[in-house]
Amino acid sequence: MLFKGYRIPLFSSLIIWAVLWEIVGHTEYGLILPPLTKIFERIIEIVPTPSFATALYITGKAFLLGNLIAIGVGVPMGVLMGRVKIADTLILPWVNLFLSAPLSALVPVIMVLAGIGEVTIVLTVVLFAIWIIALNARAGVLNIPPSLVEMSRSFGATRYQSFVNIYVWAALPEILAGIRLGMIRAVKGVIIGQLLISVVGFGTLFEVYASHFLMEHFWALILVIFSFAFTINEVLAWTERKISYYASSR
Amino acid sequence: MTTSISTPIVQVKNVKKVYPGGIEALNDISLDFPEGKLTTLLGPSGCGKTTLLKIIAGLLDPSSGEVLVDGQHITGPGPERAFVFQDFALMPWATVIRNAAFGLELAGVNRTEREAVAEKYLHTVGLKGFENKYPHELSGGMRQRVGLARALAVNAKVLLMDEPFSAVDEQTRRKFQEDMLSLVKNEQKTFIFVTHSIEEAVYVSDRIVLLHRRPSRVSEIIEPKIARNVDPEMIRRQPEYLDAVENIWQSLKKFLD
Repeated sequence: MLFKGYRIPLFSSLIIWAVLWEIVGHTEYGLILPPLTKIFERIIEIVPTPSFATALYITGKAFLLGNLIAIGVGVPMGVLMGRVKIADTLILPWVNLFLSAPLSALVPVIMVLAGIGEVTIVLTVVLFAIWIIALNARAGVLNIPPSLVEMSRSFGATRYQSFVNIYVWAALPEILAGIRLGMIRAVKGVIIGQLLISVVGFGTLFEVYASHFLMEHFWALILVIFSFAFTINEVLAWTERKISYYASSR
Repeated sequence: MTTSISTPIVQVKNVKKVYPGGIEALNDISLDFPEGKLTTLLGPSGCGKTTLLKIIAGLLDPSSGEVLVDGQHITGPGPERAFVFQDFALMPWATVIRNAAFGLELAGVNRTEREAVAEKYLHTVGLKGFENKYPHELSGGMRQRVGLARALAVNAKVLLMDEPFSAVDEQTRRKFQEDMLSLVKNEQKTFIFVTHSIEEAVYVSDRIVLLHRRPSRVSEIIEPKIARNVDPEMIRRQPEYLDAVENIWQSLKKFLD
């Protein structure tokens, strides 16, 4: 963005919003939306506490485990859908359904099945992340240029050789994009799951802060989680850009 | 006829191809391809020339009829045939040398050996110094040279080329055509070449097979008697070249919609 001939960094708009927030925080609305400076003080206060560390550890574990399962199941599922027509016909409607459905409504069902605990959180993460991963892997496989497949066949590749040398690599940009989108959804999944259960990880903290009307703490936690989600997204997008240089030239 | 002396290395016998839905791509084609020559399949788009080439490659099965290579009935791709693709079909995630050596990699040749062979052919096609580049760092013409090196590296007897120069610009194309002539002269290989460019066909071919459209049949086989031992620039000025281009044009003209 250019302002009077000067290049202004993209994030400078954040400063304007932060100032605005600070001003609002000092008015009567400060009860619900405390000043940003106070929230940052709370962040510095909360982050080193053991309860925060425990919450972060539990959340991180559920997040990683859920993502691993979602990727481990989602990618092969998508590849299968892209390659086998019958599998596609059977699974695709469900994938599309779950992709657009309000999945939070299913968390209580998982709770009934898996109990109130970490397993439910992991399953919620899987539920949130897996569909977009599968759908992207499917799209990646369907987008493989036919000539690349013909090429490997014409040079005598076996099915296995085609799979490891061509399919996996040619679909990689889409698969990675799917994993990134899946992880963003997984952040939602892990937090929504914890909020609904409210006895695990950040869910407990949110519950405590909200019920005691500790708005500064509450906002501090939200900012920390938002910045986590944002960082994960940026790191993944960066990795994706490193790989996707060839997506356009396939 | 000079070509009748050489034995046909590829024989196409009564090949028919009907696509699902009843679209007839080829109707009872019989053709012989003499060894060591460059034969071109020429015709308007939709005449089935690429379909025929892919059947010879073993990438498509004919609906009826058969293809013999070296007297053997073929059922799929084989090491005696190598394919050069219209869109190059390079692996964008692999370096030039790995792409060029891919046929040998699939055949299980060890790395040092296959890369030495690939390197040799990359030099032949004029890509010395580009071994460790990636396809997206190369121009279209250079990418097709990698495709050519890959096909040469497996040392197949027959090279099948599907409109190999149609995706490169005109200048590069002309250079390619000149290089093709020296390649045919230096490599003891049979080339089967598909193009829709009359000039290109006449310039590079020993024999030109003209294909009809709907139903797809061989309408004519032309052997341009062009002196190839002259300066490549002079070929396009020979009366034989110009006559052949004109004849083919007259012959194809009647199939225009």
